Amino acid sequence: MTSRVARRYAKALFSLAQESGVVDAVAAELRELHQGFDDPAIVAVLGSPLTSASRLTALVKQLTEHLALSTLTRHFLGVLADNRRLDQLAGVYEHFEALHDRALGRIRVTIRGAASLTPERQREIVTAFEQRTGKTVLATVVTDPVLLGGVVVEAEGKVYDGSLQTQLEHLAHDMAGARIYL
Amino acid sequence: MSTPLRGLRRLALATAVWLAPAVALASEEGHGDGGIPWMILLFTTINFLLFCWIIARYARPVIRDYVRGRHDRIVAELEAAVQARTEAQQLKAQWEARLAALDKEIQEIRAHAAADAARERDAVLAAAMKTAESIRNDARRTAAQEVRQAEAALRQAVAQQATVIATQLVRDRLTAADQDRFVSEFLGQVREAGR
Repeated sequence: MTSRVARRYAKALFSLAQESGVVDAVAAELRELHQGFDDPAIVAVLGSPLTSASRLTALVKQLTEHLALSTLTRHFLGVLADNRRLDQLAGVYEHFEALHDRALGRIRVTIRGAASLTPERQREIVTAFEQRTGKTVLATVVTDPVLLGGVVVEAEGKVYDGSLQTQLEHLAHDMAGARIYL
Repeated sequence: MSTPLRGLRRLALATAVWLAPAVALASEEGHGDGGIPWMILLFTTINFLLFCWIIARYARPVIRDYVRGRHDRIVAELEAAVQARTEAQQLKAQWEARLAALDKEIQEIRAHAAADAARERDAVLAAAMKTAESIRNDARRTAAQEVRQAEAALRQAVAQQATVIATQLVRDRLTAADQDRFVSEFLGQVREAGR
């Protein structure tokens, strides 16, 4: 769940990126930064009041030089450092991605299968959800043996559960709720 | 005749009676040595008259008041005695009446006591029955609740055990074809829901 602060920064950055026509490039850079800042220890240091502003600025400068970031992303990082909001970078990335997806008419879904799904099956599932939502589907496929059988798809905040594990849970719940005649 | 004259006459009569023996004695003595000692008789008479007058003047009212007071006291005491006697007679009559009615009163008291005891017994019995009914209902509710809890626990245990067995069976026997069939069914449901 992204914070309101992160959403505001993401919205501003996306708006500027759209104006400059560099949304894809900024999204790729944010993804790269997000992967680099994914460590909770780094986030804690970035958000700590003990970390001086000069050190944060030096860190941003090193990053931008190392990753060869675009001007917009570089300036954006500078603003985050000045406002001591670098710890919000992960939230900014997530909301930026959501805005980007919305602008492109696409959704991200997670497909969890009890066993590895063949590419054909994955394509079928993606197609089914594209038809259902009318949007382009970006799928992340995960194998989860806990499901026992079937698949679970999470899309747009909804869960489409076709797993055997859930069916067994429903069966157990029904059994527990049924009357016993001795 | 007025009262002072009558008193004076009485006094004169008493004096005559009192002096008669003295005159007789004096006459006898006078015959012996030369006649009646009139002077002695006169002084004696005067003394006596003075004595009578003093008595009548000072002692008589006191005696009269004493006698009158005593008379009044006696009359009052007699009246009080009569009153007391009357009251005693009335009290005696009342007690006699009460004694006569005592048996009836005892019977009434006994009847009242019996009625009170019966009422008390009925009230105690009713309260005891109410309490017993309440306890019985509580026991029924508690028993029913415990049965329900036991049923629920049993159902839960059975369901849990069945789930464990089913899970194990699925793991042991689920094939790739079954997995593919599950995915197909899921896709069919998604497509069906989209229409």
